[in-house]
Amino acid sequence: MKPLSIILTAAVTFAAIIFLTVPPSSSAREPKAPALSTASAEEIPDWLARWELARTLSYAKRYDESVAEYKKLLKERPDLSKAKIEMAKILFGQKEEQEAIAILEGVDPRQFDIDSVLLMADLYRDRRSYDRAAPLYRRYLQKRPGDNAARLRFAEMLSWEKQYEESLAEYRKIIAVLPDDVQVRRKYAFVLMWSKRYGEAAAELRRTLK
Amino acid sequence: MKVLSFIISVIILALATTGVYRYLKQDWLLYRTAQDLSRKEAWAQTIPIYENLVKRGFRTRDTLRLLAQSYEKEGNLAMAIAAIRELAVLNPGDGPTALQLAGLYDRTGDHRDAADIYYALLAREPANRAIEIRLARALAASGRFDDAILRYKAILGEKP
Repeated sequence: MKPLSIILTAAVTFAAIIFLTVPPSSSAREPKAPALSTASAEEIPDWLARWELARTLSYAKRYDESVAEYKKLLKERPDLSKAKIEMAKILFGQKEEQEAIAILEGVDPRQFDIDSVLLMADLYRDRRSYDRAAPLYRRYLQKRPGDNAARLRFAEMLSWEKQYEESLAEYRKIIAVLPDDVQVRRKYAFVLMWSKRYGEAAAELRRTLK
Repeated sequence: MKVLSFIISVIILALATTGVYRYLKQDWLLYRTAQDLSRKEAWAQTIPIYENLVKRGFRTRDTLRLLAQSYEKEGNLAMAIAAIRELAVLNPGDGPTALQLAGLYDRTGDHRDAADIYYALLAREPANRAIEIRLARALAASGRFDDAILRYKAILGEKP
């Protein structure tokens, strides 16, 4: 019994020393800083850089150069529907409507991501193709009900089409979220006026003066 | 009787060891607790622990990085930036830390400060295409379109 006791005591003491002196190992899942080599390894294909260049040229209002870059991009990647729509938008701005329409009509609307749906809706609205724009706005707002800027454009468009009830319904949704937005309320009041609801229009206009 | 006294001695030794351990290794225990909480994504609970550890100077670099991560996950980018800036001061030549800081600046919309960092990183690594494109994006986002265009053209190997 005695030798066993000595061995056990020695083992426990040794374990205690180890326990107290060796620091606990840090977790294997400790986060690492992103290495520069990680950044180097990110794949940025030329077509993506060219797309960003085309966009930046349009922000800089260098539209001709932007369209030229979009054309080069689409030659390499004809599947980029969103790039086509962006280019069409620039062409519309440059009064090259025929070319823009030709591009748009070559795009299958079912392929659009939700941002492209809005772009397309805005383009149809700009060219007064309201019947084409309306379903696209509805589709977009179903996915992004909180985009009040898009909803406002849709509401305005409906009022131009004399679809006052639907327009007012859209305005009410915006006002429910932005009750202090005087500009929106004023536009809402005008639509009320156009729909001959003069009393309500006056009340809304009065609220904008407070 | 001898066996019983031996067992009791072992238990007392184990308890004493644990007590001494907890006293001597408080910071390690806190650090590991915070890491366990991180795994559970309980970021709000990890932040005060890491803050405390940074104040006590415990593994400052690691702890600052973990503190920044917790703030970032919690959505407090301003505090994440503060932690990474502190880390960058401790490691002035550390590229990954600088890159992380620039990424955070970009996320908060402070593209000018991000661009300054990318310029500095590119001075050290001129052929790094990923940093070049990040710089081009930061320049475009901060409204310096002409500079961004020049960068993009350089990336594409085109004449300005």
